Amino acid sequence: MFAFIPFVTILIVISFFLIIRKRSAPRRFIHIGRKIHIGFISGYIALLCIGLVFAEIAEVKSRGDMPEKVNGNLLSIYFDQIIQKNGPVDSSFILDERQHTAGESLTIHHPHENATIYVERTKDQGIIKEIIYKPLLDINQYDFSESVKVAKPIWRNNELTIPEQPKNFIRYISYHDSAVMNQLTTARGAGYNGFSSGYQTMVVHLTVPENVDIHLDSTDYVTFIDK
Amino acid sequence: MTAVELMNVTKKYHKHLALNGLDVNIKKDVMTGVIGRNGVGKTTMMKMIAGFVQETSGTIRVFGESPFNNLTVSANVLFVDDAMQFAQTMSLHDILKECKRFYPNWDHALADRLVQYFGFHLDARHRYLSKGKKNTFNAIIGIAARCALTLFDEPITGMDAGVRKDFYRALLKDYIAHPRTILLSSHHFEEMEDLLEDVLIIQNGKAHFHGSVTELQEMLISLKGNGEILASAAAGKTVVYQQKSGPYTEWLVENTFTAAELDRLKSKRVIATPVSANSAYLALTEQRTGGIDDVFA
Amino acid sequence: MYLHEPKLFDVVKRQFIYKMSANATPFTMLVILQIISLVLLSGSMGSPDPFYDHNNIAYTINAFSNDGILGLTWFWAAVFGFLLTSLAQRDEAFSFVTNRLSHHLANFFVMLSAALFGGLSAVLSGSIIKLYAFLRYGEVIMETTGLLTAPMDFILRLVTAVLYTLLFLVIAYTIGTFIQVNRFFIFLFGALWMLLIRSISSSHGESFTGKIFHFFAGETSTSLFILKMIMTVVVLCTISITISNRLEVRK
Repeated sequence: MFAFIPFVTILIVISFFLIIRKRSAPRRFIHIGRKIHIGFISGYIALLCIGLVFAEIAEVKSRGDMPEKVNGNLLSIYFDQIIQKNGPVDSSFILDERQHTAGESLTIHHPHENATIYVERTKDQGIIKEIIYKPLLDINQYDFSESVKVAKPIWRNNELTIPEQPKNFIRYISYHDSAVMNQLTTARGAGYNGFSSGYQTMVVHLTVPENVDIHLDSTDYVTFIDK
Repeated sequence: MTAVELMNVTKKYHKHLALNGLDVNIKKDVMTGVIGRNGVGKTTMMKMIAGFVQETSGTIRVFGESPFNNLTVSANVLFVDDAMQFAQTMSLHDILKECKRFYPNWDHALADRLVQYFGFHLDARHRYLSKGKKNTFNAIIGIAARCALTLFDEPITGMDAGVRKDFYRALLKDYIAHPRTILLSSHHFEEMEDLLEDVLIIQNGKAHFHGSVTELQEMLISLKGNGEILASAAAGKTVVYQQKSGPYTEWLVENTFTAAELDRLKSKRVIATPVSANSAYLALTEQRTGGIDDVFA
Repeated sequence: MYLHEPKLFDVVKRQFIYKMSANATPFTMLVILQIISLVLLSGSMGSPDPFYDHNNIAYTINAFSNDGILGLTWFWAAVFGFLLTSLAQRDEAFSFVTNRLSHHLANFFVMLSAALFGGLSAVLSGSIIKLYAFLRYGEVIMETTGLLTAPMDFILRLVTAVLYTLLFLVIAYTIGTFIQVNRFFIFLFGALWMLLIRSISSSHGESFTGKIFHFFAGETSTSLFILKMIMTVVVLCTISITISNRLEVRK
């Protein structure tokens, strides 16, 4: 609303000059006739209509590939469902499930502190189960998780190393119809209101036999789940 | 039948009184010349008849209706002057097409022929025409629209002599073929004398004379002769004009002489001649306090 | 020569057609303004240069919309509404058959057409921006959906844009008419404008200007919104017709 003040002030000034100016007839070299005006205007409308058709086609075609709007807090999903045990995590969030032969000990290297590790103890012997949950990225309430590239943990002789994660370049391209026009629509209030993003790092959920000793570089980012 | 009726009409612009109790009845289907010196209210009167301007007091009736804000009057009255405005986007051709839509009696073929005759380029813009050309074009609209009442306000301004003659001729021909009420104001009365039936002379915001051209001519008589004899002959009559040239004096006197009186004057070597309408008009509208010579005296 | 008794409707129709062709230039001007605005892509907000967050993710943001075009259209509407009251426009109208009422009614229909054209082109210009974003970036998040996905929303957007454009036209037209009646209204409107601005900045709670704003922009019911808009337009037009009914032309 405040943005219109300079506009209208300019308008007032222009109006004033329009009123007090003398009616002059400058000789113009080009005269645009009525037919040219009509042609120009209808050409523009035709162009807009063609634009509408193609934009609609593009929108419908790309509808499946687009990030979806998230309801509620996307980022708390792993904590809620794995630690609080509020039901199983949807399989679409699982990046990989692996099994490793358990040795006498397990050393976890986590130098970049770029993942969250949940460790659960089990009475079963001989096998370490690993579930990798993909990182989550939420930009302005849109789920951009698919765009985040992941480097999986590396296992070597009873040692688990979380490697440096690849760099990510995320493009947030959005379109919204002017907010003032959405007053009556279901999309009321939709529009670009600044940028907000939330990021949940990759979660590595380990189920380790009780008899395996676990050695940690640091206890940060490692959570032990009690049964 | 009366086409236009003005009863005791006054018009004030701020403090300036443009019309002061004007009483006029204009007959239907008559071509009337509206004559008067500059700034006497001719244009104001015509604009009131066209419904552009509202009277300050008095009553105006055009075809029996008050013209201000009246659609019927607007549809049947066309006011032609040099300030007619048309949109810049429109060519002369477009303007003529608009006229065709607005005026039911519009003769498009005639307009086309006139436009061609007067050498207009149909793609030209009205705003950029020269003054004379603009007035010629406006006059063509006035003629071809064949409105029941057409008002020409100074239509010949800027036209050259040839175009003026053609315009009068075109107007007359179309008027004879399609009789209608026409008001024509101009300073060039002598050019229009043959064209007009009636003359309305306005002076000081009032109708000074309204009648046929012949009546105007017969109103005055020109007497030439010895000054003293003229003085005794014109005793009791209005003398509107006196001029001394050489030994003779010329007086324009109110023509109420009987045939016998004129015979008597003839014997006293006074030459009585009829006056032209133009001299009558000039004499009638002459300022009584003297001419331009007196300013330099 | 017999007299013609024209019907008001016919005269308004003729005047409307005349005025539409006489005012073709403003319409072309809007097209040019919108094209310039489309080319410059004033609709894009955000940060086109990538920036990093603490997780080492680089973001590029481009939020496209037709906000700018809509604002521009309203600005044009206000100027056009004002121009319609100019002396030249009145003289042009009175070169042909008209009275003041038919002149205003024809002007109103011109404004209605301008609002339809302005609103429609502003809404549709969004598609051009959308298409550009698709062609350039491939993936575009639709924060508001298009004609096929939500046809009702599309129609409502059209209605809103057209009605607001009409409102701006009519407001400017009314102000212009006041000023044509008497030039001193310039000062009155100037003072009024200053008061409105002051009321935004000085008052506690909701200002008078804010109330006016919410009266229109806060309305979510379609029928009430249309009713409010139509009532406002009718009231403003009636004021214009009433105050200028005695206005003399070609003085």
